[in-house]
Amino acid sequence: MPELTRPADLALTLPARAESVTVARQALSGIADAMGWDGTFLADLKIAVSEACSNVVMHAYEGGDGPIELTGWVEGDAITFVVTDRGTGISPRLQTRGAGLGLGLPLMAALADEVEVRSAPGGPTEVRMTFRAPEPGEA
Amino acid sequence: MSGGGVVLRVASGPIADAVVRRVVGAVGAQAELPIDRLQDAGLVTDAILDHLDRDHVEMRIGAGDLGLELAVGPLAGGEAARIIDRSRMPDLGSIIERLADRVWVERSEPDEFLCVEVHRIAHA
Repeated sequence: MPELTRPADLALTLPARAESVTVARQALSGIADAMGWDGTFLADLKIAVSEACSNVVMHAYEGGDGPIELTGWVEGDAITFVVTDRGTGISPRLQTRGAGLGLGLPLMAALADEVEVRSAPGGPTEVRMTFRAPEPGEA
Repeated sequence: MSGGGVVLRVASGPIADAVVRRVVGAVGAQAELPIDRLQDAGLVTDAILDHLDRDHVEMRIGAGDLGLELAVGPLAGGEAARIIDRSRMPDLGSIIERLADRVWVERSEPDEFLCVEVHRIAHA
């Protein structure tokens, strides 16, 4: 089975626009094709990473332009994705009204084995998600 | 090349083949390429990947005024011409030049980029 053996072996920088989420999902599908992942595991990856990318699109730049940075790598049986923006921190998002149901982070936490959110005040936000790949034959 | 595209860096091998092909397809769809031109873009991408002698693939992929735009690199001097040459087939010439509408090398010393456009409407 091929492996992404070094940090940031996949690095994707996308404009923070809605259509970029589709591109990110296609990149995940490509990794899954090569790794032999499908079904529930691939669906979980795509939903969680889509949520993180959608958060950047909706909240990071307050209508302005900026990048979504998606990096990924495999270590053993785990794959880690990091979604980063160059926005101004996560705190103002909590005050945003009508911009979503607020389910993104709980959903990511439910789907990934580990989730970590780092956001310096006034600085970029990083969402790091680690997923453990199922053993062959495991549901 | 127009700004605002997708910048992709991925380790060479089966993962790069699958990821690049899918990302090119997604951006090509955003560029409103018809199905036959999406297939051409996929074949051009495969030809580039097949002849790229590196441990990673780095490219910018964007939707331009006329269609899909790719810039592969940074590459070492002369590498872009080598990729085009290696994609030559008997009686057909370079697959890249045959299927793409525009192919050129952009130099930014000491590096260069292999740039390709696949338009919505193929050149005659």
